Amino acid sequence: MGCCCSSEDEKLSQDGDPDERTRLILPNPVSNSQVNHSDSYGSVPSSIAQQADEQSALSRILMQTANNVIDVSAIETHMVEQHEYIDRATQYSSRLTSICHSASVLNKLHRPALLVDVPALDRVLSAEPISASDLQFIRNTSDHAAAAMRKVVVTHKEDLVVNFGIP
Amino acid sequence: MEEALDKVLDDTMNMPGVTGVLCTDKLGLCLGARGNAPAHSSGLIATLANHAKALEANAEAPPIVCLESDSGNILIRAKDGITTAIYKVPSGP
Repeated sequence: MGCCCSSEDEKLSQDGDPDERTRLILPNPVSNSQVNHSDSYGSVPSSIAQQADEQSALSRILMQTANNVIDVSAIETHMVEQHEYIDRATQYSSRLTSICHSASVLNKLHRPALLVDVPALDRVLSAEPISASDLQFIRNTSDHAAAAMRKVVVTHKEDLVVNFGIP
Repeated sequence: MEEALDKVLDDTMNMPGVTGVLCTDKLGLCLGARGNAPAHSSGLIATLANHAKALEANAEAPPIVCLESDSGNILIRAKDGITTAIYKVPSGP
């Protein structure tokens, strides 16, 4: 159109497919040859052939789209029945129990634990921290043990140096 | 040589509610164990007593550590370098 930026468009217009009427679906070379062949016999067969080409191109696009689309509604859904749900829950819980048991056994082997898990934590925490009798008991026992250890002496029974192999 | 300590351990085991008793030195060497007190836990027991003593550095009396669980209690006290641990069932209120 004379615009300084329209040189490419004018170039395209010389090729034949530049404007808004350009077909998005290009006919294949075979159909082009048929069109050219039919053009030599008249304009009416040419339009019929073009329509047929469009129909074939559209049907090909439709088939390709249909191949790419996954029909979700056609997939068979697997409904979990109630008894199957219960069976699975039982199976999973038994597996978890076995795994936890093996893990606890491994923990006991590798790390000697003084205490095990406390299931009723609130009851333990709400109880008295230590009774007076237990307090006195551990005090007495500790004192007695310390006194007993002070009484530990090495009793000399045999000679420290023994002649070996000498008659 | 250690008859006195063995007697203390045996007497403690005969007390009601006691399920185990253990004595260890401050380095974790097990000096004697009775009942369900595992001998290999002597190092942990000595460490607990040492840490409790470090927390109460200015206390005159040695601290008493009481580990509570649903299955029983563990009472730990260190005196003159000897740590004693008593395993017993929880006493009633």
